[in-house]
Amino acid sequence: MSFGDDLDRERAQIMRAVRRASESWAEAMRVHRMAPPDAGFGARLRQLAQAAETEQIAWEHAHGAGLLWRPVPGAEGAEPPYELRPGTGRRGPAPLWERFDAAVAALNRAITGSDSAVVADAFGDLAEAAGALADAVERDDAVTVSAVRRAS
Amino acid sequence: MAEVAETLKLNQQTVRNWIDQGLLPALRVGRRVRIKRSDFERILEQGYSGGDQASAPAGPSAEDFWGGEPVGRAEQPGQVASPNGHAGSEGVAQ
Repeated sequence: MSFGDDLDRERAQIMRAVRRASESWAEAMRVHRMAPPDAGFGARLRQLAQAAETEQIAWEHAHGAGLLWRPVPGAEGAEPPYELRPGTGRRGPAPLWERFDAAVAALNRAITGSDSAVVADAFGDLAEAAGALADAVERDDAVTVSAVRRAS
Repeated sequence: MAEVAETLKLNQQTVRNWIDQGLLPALRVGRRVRIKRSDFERILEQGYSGGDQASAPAGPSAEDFWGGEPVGRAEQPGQVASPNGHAGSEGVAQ
């Protein structure tokens, strides 16, 4: 057993974690893309927040191991799934959506480069923004449900 | 795997990456990895011809990233993928 073997093993573990995080992120995107209007929106935002946080952690580890993000060229103007875009009647407080849009723009900038620390930070900001939106939408849903129950 | 790496003058991690990415089929027997000669020769041929552009996996795109395709991949510094997604002279780690 050598230092080189340990390093290879650590990097292999991190790469597996990166792959799992990437798959969770992809699944969260697919859920948003295929979603019916509104139903389960809060849960989808929560899934997105958790996937982004998983990515953040994986890429922090990758950065610690000296690994780089594989750049995604031309991502600067890329858009998230439809129901997450501005102008589509997104539910939730406007300031939180502004924060979310800024986090999306920062993530798009980050993934065009190769700095895994920048990518980790961008995923972290998106996780926080999506988490705050999930909280707000779920609170709104809870109020609506209790109002409907009172009315019936 | 060591033989393949030696023949192609690559490090073993590159060959391991090809296997992990599904570019090079391999059979794992315990800790050993077996590679069919025909698969090795195909990789060899692609290497010398610069790769088969038609069948090469496309690189990541922003549409993939936001569209539900897993594109996140870690690379080791100085070991950069070629534009067609194949490992370059040193390889891509995943």
